[in-house]
Amino acid sequence: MIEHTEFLNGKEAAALASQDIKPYFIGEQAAMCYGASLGGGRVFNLGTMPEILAEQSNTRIPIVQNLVTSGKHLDTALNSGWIILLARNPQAVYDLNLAAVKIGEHTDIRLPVIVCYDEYFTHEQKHRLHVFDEGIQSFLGEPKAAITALDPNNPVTFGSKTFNTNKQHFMAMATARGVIFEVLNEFEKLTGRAYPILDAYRMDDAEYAVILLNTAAETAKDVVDQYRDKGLKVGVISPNVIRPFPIEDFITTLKNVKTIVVGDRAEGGNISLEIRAALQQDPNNKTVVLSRIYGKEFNEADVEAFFELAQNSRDAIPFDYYGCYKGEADYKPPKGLPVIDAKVASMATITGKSGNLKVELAPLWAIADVTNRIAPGHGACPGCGIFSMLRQIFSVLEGELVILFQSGCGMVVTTDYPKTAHRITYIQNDSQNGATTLSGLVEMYHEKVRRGELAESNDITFLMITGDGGMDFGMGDAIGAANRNHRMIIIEYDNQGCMNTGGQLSDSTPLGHSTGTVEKSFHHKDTAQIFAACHLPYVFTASEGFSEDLMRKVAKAQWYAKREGLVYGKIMSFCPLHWHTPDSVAQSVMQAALDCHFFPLYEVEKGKTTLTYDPDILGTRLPVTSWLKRMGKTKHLLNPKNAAILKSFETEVERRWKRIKAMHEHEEL
Amino acid sequence: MNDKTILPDHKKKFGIRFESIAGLGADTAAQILAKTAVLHLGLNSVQFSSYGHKKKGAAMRSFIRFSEKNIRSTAPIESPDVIVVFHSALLKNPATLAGMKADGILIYNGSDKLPANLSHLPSTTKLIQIDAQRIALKEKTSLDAVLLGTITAALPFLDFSTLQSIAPNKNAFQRGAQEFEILSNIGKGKGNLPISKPKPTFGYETAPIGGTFPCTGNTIENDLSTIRIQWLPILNIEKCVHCGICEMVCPDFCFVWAHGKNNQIYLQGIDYQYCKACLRCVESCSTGALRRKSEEPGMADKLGMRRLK
Ligand SMILES: Cc1ncc(C[n+]2csc(CCOP(=O)(O)OP(=O)(O)O)c2C)c(N)n1
Ligand code: SF4
Ligand code: SF4
Ligand code: SF4
Repeated sequence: MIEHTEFLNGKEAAALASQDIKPYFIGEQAAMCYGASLGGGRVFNLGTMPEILAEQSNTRIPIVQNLVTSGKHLDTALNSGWIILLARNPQAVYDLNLAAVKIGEHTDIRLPVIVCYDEYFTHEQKHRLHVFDEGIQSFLGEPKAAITALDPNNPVTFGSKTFNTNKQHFMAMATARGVIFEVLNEFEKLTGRAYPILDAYRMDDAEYAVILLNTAAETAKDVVDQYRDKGLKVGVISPNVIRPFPIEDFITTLKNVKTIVVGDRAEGGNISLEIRAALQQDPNNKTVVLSRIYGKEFNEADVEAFFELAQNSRDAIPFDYYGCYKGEADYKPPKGLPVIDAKVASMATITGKSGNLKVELAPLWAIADVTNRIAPGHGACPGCGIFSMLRQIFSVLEGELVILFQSGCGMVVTTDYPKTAHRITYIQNDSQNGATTLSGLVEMYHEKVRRGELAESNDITFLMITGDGGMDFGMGDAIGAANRNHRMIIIEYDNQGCMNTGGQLSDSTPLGHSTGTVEKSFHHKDTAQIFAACHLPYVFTASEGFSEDLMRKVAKAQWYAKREGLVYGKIMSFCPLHWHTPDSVAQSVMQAALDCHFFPLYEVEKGKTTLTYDPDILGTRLPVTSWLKRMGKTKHLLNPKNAAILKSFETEVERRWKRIKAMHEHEEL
Repeated sequence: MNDKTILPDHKKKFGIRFESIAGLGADTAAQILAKTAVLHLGLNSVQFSSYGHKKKGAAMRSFIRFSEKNIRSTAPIESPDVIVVFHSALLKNPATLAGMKADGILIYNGSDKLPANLSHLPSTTKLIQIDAQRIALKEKTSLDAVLLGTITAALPFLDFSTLQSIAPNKNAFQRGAQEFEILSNIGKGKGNLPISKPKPTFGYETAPIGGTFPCTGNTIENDLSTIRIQWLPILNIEKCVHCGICEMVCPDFCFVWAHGKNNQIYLQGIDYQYCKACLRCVESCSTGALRRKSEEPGMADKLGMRRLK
């Protein structure tokens, strides 16, 4: 076996393993990987979100999926029917990913396999490891699938809801015990790196042991070494395989152990329950089992506390949380700003009728004095457009407001417990179903008003704020809310990527733009037109670099959201960190995006489209390149070698602009 | 290239902690050091960084452990052998120097005037000062390129020629290794500095249920001025026409407005506690009332004002 040394974190180790395996398909979405694997080739899921589909194990499809966990996600995965390997460091991430392929594809098993490791500690910390130069394919062998969805001569029906596959699945899991053992043995012969099913460290004559998963177990080994030097009979047990659960191994290893303390990060203490159940099968076992749930970090002092507990187990309660902070009785969170008086002067005067509203905006200097609904002191990057946008929105919205943020930068930097930048009621939601959550609250509000429990004069406006990434994950929910036409506003700040998670692409990232991971290979999603097709009372686009236009539209949005139904607005928002620009250039970069037709500013009011800024008429028209050259993420598109991408982008921008312009010119469109 | 490097105490791990601000290159520098140790110096090493939420300008730490043996621990390094401070503003936070060893080394990037906080250091800690900012500007590179040289020069077990050959900017590395000063009689403390303790907050007996918290806008307590590393926007009120444009673009709500006679609203000044010096206001002000200036100590206190609401 020829190998070389690398210095990588778990994330990179998994990526390298996925390349070295040379799968037919590498994906990030569970369902896409499932689809690919129905076709019979080797499939690798590099996405780290805990999307574990039971379908994959029911249909007996081998896929390798990496799961980065802080405990909770492992809980969910445990009962999904997948084989689960635990990787305690980046070396194990690399090695076990290779082993996982071979285990899952074994003809007697054919099950998907999770390689699970700790968020932050293993995923992000860089370690020394050895990786293969060659020999992987001969270790793995050919992928064999007896049944595939890509064999027209042998049509198959995949998945029946009326046949119960559980017993077959149980039998495969039982077989897996032996196969996993064989594969890991073979791996050890090749590399010298041992992965026993149950890693029993210095357990030979141990009287007390701690049982921990992944990095916590590694920390414990250092402590055990020190205790052993002092003559204490202690050890650490940590599984490398947790599904199938190593019942026999636990029984044998714990035969003569007086007390164990099981440290779980997951909430219910699954592992300790299963160990207790396993020990029930050994009538002679007298081991005392204590279970403790700990938080994120687990350091040497915590291991020492566990051993202390093990040695004084007589009065200890069997199950408890460990290391949680109780708080001090006299603690008061930092003082904030007073509650806002909602009855302030109106900054936008609206006249006209539904379908043809006119907005008269107060001068900017008057607006500048409006009390902001969000306080300074938030932690966004210098220059972040989300907050300029919020300032403008909050300047024209009148009366009481309830806001909901889907996760993203705007949420993360405003609500660092126990501090909040929000001065009004604020709800945090995952990036998936914010629109549905808020629509429920809207319905409750109207019901309470109907029952006379809330005065109508409260007149609350409901506003959801999401990033463009959240408008991908949450699209289904948002469309649902739009079709039901609840009286609320959805504002999408479009910074052209999933910035909070490192600037990855979203569907709204334009073609060719480089992102935290890859260059975007398809055109940007036209979210405003998608919502226009829901026939909402009001849909608009705006730019936080053009505040008057934005505020006029938000004033209309509130009018329609109070009276007629759902309003959607897409607002271009500056992100210097991931656009790779100086922090100061928001105005000029976004102006160029307007002037080159990339981001048409328009509204669709009761079906009628109106452009609110037309560079052709104003004579400010610029070529697309004069926008692209201003950002680090797009400069490369001006290079002649990217001429084809640029051309394709320019053509698409122009095609979409002409469509909007045609709609602007024709009442019926 | 060394086959085997010997650490000062070869039975123990050697720990380095970088105290920095996201965007100054601390993570890159730490990766270069650790990776070189593993791939070229025959040492084992683990490297990682901790950021609040990975936004630009936020305080961050980077950690390196070196060892001649396997490294299992993944914990942050509470009492390192070396602390490298990338920016003087970080010294406002006592956690920056927490855990400093009495026989350790502090490398501090700063020019002439020494911050008073350094007197807390143990008197026996070796204090190295380097004006990495000035060198980085001259050599058109980033801070980390300079500090790599200083760190390598301060730690004889890091093979100089190997690191120099890997350094991103050879001149900056060379100057970092030469133009530092060893200061004496600064620290007045005795023994290791204590490790930092987390600030009190709600706990499970005191917190409102479900992670809710009944606060409004209490981020106003935060001091964001450490995020500024070079510029300060300066208001020349004579040129200001009180148009309100700066208020619309400032992401950090720094502008302070007041009511004059006839209920007229006019711009009064800038609250620099929240100003991150993005300079969006300078870009957008069309009258030239806002200009950027290189920030000197005390300037913000003198020219700024506090928001009242
Ligand atoms: C359903 C769901 N998937 C993934 C995540 C993880 N996540 C948190 S923030 C984020 C990025 C959101 O991007 P975007 O909405 O564009 O906001 P930005 O980060 O740009 O502020 C992701 C993927 C999540 N919170 N919820
Ligand atoms: S990454 Fe971009 S969107 Fe997120 S806080 Fe920074 S500037 Fe704002
Ligand atoms: S943009 Fe300039 S002129 Fe206008 S209020 Fe601000 S400082 Fe004064
Ligand atoms: S520099 Fe940026 S943060 Fe500071 S006042 Fe100007 S716009 Fe606001």
